[in-house]
Amino acid sequence: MTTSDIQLIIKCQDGDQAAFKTLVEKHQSYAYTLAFRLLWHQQDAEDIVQEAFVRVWKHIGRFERQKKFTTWLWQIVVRLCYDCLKSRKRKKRFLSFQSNDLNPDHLISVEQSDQHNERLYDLKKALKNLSPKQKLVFTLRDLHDFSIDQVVSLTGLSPGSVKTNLYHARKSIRKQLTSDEVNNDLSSL
Amino acid sequence: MPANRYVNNSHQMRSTMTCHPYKKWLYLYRSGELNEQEKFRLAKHLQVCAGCRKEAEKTRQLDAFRTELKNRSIDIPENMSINIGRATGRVSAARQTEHSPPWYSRAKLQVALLTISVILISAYAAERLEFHYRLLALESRMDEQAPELARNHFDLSAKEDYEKWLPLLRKSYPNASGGRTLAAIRHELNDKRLDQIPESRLRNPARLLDFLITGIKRDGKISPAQLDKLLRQL
Repeated sequence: MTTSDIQLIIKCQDGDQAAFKTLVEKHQSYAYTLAFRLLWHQQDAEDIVQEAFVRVWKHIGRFERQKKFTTWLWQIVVRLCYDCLKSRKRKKRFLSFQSNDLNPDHLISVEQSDQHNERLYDLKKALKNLSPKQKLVFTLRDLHDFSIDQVVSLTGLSPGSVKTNLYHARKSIRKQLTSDEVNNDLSSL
Repeated sequence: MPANRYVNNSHQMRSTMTCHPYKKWLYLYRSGELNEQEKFRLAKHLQVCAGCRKEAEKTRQLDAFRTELKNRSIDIPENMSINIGRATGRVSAARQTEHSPPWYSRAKLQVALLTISVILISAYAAERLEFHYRLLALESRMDEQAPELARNHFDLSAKEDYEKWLPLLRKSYPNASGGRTLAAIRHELNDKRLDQIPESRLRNPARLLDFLITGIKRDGKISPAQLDKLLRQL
């Protein structure tokens, strides 16, 4: 853990809210990026990050300083996202075509809207069929380059389970990409 | 025809079985996902299996997909840190409220402490009162059962004749056993505290007895428990 993180945490444990604000500003970007790539929904990602930092603030007194703060924070974010994904699966509302995620105001500049949104849609479609665990493992490993051990630590899954879910995720995405290519080829005929 | 079909099917089954772990391993191609032995075995298998080689090429599509997703920019919401600050501020405020209990909780605590104090004081007072009454009972028994003892024993002008007091006491209280007899106690006290006993007490057995017993307890000659046991025996 960096020296500055340790110093900030010591101050936070004494109730220093200004130090906590500094800690938030330092780590919120990565936390949001992680949550967004797991959920692909801006509002949900923002809610998750807010909840994660609230939990950090509540339990900062119990945090053991020899451990890594970022690992703790990412664990909270990942597990909140996993709960959200499971909840979505139950509600079956992933990838709504009317969702704000396709709204350029939320994601990208207005000038790039049409073509970029279509491509984003294609990318997200490839992730659509993944189970919550597969999505979790794929995002952490392939989009954030965490090692297998780090993915195990963040998710609580066994190494065997991580590899199995990774295999299924990559295979599913590859199949989806292949079928999209076939459909595009056929439509151009 | 049937023979060929069976041969082809068995060939397909055999090739599927031999490809069993390798098809999975093809998708675990990034650093750290396979150990050295698994990598070696996969490489050997790809040399002989065209189907798996073809599958391996397809997995490369994942690289482009991954790169594209990673490079996609993500804008951080503008007011996120402010919202987080507000939320944690609410937590701190709620925590402060929990630590200061409402007034009725404090009153309950005070009443509980007062009740416990009253109970403890009452128990102590009851114990002292009970001991006092037992002493009074002893004095009255001594007056009834050994009037000559009460008369003679407490006449300390005849203090040098303490040896005759002892048989009198033993005669009057034949069951006295365990611990020290009252006579021995009084003898010892008489020797040591004779000049300290007021004259008014010399004429009043009850008051003298009380004085002696108080002195016993204060000087540590006999504990209250031992005295109590002795009194019960008498």
